[in-house]
Amino acid sequence: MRRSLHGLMRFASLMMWLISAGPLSAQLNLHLGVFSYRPAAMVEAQFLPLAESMEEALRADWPDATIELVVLSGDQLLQAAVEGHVDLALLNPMDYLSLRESSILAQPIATLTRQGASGLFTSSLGGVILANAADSGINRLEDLVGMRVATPGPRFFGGYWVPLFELHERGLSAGDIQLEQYATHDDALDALLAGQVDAAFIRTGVIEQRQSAQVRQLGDFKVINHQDFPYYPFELSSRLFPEWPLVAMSTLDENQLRAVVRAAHSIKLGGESGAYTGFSLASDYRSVENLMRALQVAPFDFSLEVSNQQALRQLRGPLLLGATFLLLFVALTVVLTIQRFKLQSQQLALADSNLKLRLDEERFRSVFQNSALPMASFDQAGSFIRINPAFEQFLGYSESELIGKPYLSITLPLDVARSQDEFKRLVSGQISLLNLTKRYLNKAGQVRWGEVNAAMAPDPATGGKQFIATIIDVTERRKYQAVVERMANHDLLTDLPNRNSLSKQLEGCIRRADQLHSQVAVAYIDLDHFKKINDQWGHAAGDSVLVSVAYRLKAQLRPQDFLARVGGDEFVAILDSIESPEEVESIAERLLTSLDEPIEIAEGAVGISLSVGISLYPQLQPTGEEQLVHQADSAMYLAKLAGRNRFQIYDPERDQQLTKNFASVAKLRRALEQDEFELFYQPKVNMRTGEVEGAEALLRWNHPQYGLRRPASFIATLESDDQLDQAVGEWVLRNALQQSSDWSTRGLNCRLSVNVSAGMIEKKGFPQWLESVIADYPEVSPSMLQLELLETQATEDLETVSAVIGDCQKFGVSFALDDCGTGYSSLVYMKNLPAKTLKIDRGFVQNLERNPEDFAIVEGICQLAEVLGREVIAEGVETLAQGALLLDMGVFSAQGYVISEPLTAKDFEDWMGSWQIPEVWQGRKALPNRMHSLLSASVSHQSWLNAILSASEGSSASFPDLSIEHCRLGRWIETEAPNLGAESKLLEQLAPIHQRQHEVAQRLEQAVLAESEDEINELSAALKSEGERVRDLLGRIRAGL
Amino acid sequence: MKNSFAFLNRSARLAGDGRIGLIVILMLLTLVLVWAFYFASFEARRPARIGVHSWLGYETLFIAQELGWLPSDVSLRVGASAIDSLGALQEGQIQAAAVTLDEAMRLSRQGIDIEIVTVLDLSSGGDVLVASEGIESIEDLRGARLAYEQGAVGELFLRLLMRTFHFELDDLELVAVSPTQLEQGWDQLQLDAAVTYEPLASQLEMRGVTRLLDSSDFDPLIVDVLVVRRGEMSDSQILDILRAIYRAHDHFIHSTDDALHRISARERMPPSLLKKAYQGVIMPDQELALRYLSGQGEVQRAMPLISDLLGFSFEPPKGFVATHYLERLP
Repeated sequence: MRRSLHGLMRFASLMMWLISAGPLSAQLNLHLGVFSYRPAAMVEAQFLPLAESMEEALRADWPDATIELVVLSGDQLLQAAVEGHVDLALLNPMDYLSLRESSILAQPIATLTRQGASGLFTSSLGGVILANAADSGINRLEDLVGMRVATPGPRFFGGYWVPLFELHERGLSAGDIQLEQYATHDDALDALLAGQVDAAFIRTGVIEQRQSAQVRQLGDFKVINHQDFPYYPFELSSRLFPEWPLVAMSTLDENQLRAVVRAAHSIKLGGESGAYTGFSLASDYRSVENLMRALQVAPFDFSLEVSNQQALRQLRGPLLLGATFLLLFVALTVVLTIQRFKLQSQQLALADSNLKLRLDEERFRSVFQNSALPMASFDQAGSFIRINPAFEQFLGYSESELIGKPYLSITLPLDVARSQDEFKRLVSGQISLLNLTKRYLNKAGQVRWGEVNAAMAPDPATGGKQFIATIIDVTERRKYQAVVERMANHDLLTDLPNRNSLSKQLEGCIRRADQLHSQVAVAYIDLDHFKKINDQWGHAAGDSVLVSVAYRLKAQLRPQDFLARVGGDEFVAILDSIESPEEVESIAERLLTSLDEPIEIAEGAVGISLSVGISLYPQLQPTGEEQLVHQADSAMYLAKLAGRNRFQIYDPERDQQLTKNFASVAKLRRALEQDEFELFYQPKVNMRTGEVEGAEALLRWNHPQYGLRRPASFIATLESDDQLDQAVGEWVLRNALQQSSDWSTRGLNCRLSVNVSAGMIEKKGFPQWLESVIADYPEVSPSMLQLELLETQATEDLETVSAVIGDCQKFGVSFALDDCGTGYSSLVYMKNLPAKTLKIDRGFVQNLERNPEDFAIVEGICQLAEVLGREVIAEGVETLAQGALLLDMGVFSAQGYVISEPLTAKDFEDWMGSWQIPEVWQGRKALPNRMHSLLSASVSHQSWLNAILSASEGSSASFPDLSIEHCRLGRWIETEAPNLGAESKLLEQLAPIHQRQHEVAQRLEQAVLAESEDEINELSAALKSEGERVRDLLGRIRAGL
Repeated sequence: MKNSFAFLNRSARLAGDGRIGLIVILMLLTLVLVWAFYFASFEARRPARIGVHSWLGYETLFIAQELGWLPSDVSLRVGASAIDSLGALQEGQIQAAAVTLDEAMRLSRQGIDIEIVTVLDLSSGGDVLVASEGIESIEDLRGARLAYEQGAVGELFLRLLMRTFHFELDDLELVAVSPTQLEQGWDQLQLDAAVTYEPLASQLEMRGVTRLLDSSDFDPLIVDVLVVRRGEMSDSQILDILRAIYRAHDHFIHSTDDALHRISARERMPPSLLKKAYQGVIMPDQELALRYLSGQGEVQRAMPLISDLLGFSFEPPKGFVATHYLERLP
């Protein structure tokens, strides 16, 4: 290895030496020229290790090989290469491309790699644009405009051309900045540090190298247009280009070239950051060529020659434009000349009318200036000619700001196309008046709505056309409209969409389901007994509940679902793209359970449930969105009927049933309107005294086709419609009161009882309402009215009902619990219900003499009434025997067919005059409680007898217990009767007959088993006649007690 | 002035003859024709957005955007995965999207009027089946817990695997995940295997997950295309986008290192690994893309295969594959 040479002096001596040395082939002494991109001594120090290790690697193939490092300036290196004085050249990519122009066989065999501080290698370079860290004015490339920038000069690729290319890509050129050339990267950098310039261009790696040499800290600078490449080791401001190529000149033969390539790729040096460490495969230098073409750097600074055809194709647009302008110019000249000629000839004629026009114009100008409406005039291109003060106020622009500007410049971009279309139509004369509501942007950038009216008018200034527009500011109106639109589509309470939005949404879902072959479900959701909440807590509380419910429901739905509030307590959910009915069911379940927890409102915790009806889409039949909602509604109704707090999926068959019901409701409503209802009165009497205690008003429907119909045939329908139920209830009450009033004026005082439903009395404010209704009938004292309420209904909401009863009783209206005993009410219930009267259900009365259980229940009710201090009345008394037995038991009040069927008011009056106590009831007193055992024994015995007779007739399966030991009557005769003081003579007669009965009964059983027809008949007859005798004797014993 | 007056007098005489009128009319007619011709080459352009997500094959779009080559009225809408682009396209929020061919087919089946304007890439190895250490063959996968991206390419590749290796649904425990979930939660999700794509697959490999096979083992099924909602962009806009894509493609070839560093910045992955990831991705230039689209090209061949695999029938609507844009590029 010889000493390396550098500098101009050495260049000259190199030339001399090379010329004298002759061919190199025998010994292989290679000259490696390196571009002195930084001070020559520094470059030499940088590349000497590289050249040395390459030399060493080369000696593997070529034992005596040497490599001489020659550091040269750019031009010197190119010259040396072209003239064959160096065999290998390391130069920047741009110089390589120049070299290639003059020496076509110059071949890049490798690309330099550099090492970064982070241990990353790269074979790419780029430009770094630096400014002083303290300089706040330069942050972006655009900020460089007009700034002084230090560069190492146009011989430097990364430090000059690459940053310029980056500017070029942003539409900036070298002319936009003040470039100041320094000899090297380091000089440029120092100039920046010294504050001589505002910024500097250098290549990548330089700054890091200086930093590792501790010349200056990186923190002194900031990198403009910083590229965030995490795996690139250097600061970077530009895109990347390949590093310096190692170029082999054609002085090397094939063998030498191969050896050099091998050597270049086999070295790998460690080193400080920024140092060259070896080579990678030769890169593609096309991108450098592209840069040079874009910036027109030699040798690419010429423009390509183009054929006429190519030029025509490329310049088609401009040429056409030019030709058109030429034609336009010619045409305009001709037209104008003709016009001018005509004008001259008509000048005199026009003089008069000009005067008139001027007057018109002055008038117009005054209107224009003083109008409260924004007004503007435009030329045919749509540019402002004038605007009035109102217009200035409308958009905030002054006249001078707008004149000459197109009206489109203040039009909201969204409305530009529309405005243009209309304006074109006006200009072309297709319309004589433009009317358009559009949006403007005011000076502050806010949207203003204007309703524009524009028309053509002659322009007095030019004699041509102009357009006058008046604008009405409708911004406020549109804002108000937007609110109204939201109100139209949203429920203000819950902020859910309303019924309007629902149908739009559903329409969309159905269309999508058709397209995607998916399924949709509609769920109609109604809160159960929501009215009670409003009644009990007030409407504000009801509203809070609705908001909470809306929130909870929404939380259960999937993101694609849609929830709307369609009525007071009604919601509809659209369940979009569902997979299966099961998925719908699970969602419905979730909706139901979402209300399991009570809702906390200010007034307390409210428990509420809901009923859901669901319809599915698609169905076998074509189904519209309205129909779907209707179906879901029907299904919801069924869910209510089935007991509420559940969901029901729509089933077409059930729907028909339901439709029938709807029809019935309609008929009933009509019946009420057309006065087809009538009240009948069933007397209530005291069976002991014969006193008429009052009457129960009973509803009958005088059906025009089917005649008189009892409530049983329509009560279910009636109760299904809350509103109708209330209306009919009120009708009954008022008619009964009217009747009572009539009777009262005629001296006929009769307490009337009227049936009411729980729904009616639970309505908030019922007592007050009732009181006010009664007040309408001043002849009727409130104590003359009794309300009958079903026990089953009364106990459903004990608390409310008790309160209402209590309130009503305060002003004299009493209550009776109807159908007592059927509700299985606990004693507690009975105790807490302050009803004055307990009305024994007809079901118990009917079998009172024959059925020991019924007897026991009636007896129980009587005892309960006695303990609680309530009155008792029996309904459905149909036989004298029932009446007698009731009298024995101490029940004196009764109603029933044996007394009278329900009568019209007129018949009732007649009946009152004629009724007398039946003979069997006369003088009959109640037995003391302790003697009820006789009654009970009689009933049991009768029941036993009936059971045997029906078994013998084959109408019941088996005989009862026939042994006398287990007989209730037997026990009574043996043990209880003597203590009661029954007449012993009668008891002595009774005992053998009773015993005989048991014997006959046993024989009858045998006969039945033997299927002996005659014997059965004979024994049955005997049993019956014995039964009569027993009854007779028991009657006589009772009479004696 | 005198001359001009003389001309005036002359023209007045000519006008009297009626010839000047004819000349003027002819001139005006020429004028109108020339202008009509010139204006016909302009079209209304509205701002348009292209839906993309991170995938090596879509990098030309990202690079074109970064280097400012996309037309100024076109921007990218970057989603987390394919699903974002599909949704946005359905709802009309974007006018074009980079999607896979099977996704394009699904969109078309849903009645969305789209056309395929070019092929962005064909992945012959980009989609990868990876598995935890210890699973060495496909057969070991029986009973495995396998993650895939639902409704996207993952599903297609999964079906292809299942069909090829005769797996039933019961043979695998399938877990639908998003790409981000997969990256973060291999252990957390207790996965045995996953169908994924580059560069995620290479990242997973760095963590000890092994690569069982990739789509280069099959006919190219996974074709990424650029679709456009018909009628929502002007032809010139579409052509400008295609020009930008192929300029970026060119940049990729000639400034590979720069391109790789840009992708590295997005994917947070060293260029050396990226190079490896690109092994299975064929990114056609303009000419090759046209060949893929036309006649018996890869796209036409893949469509029936995809519809068969995914179990739906698909008859491409007229103009679904639009070659005329690429044909018009110089």
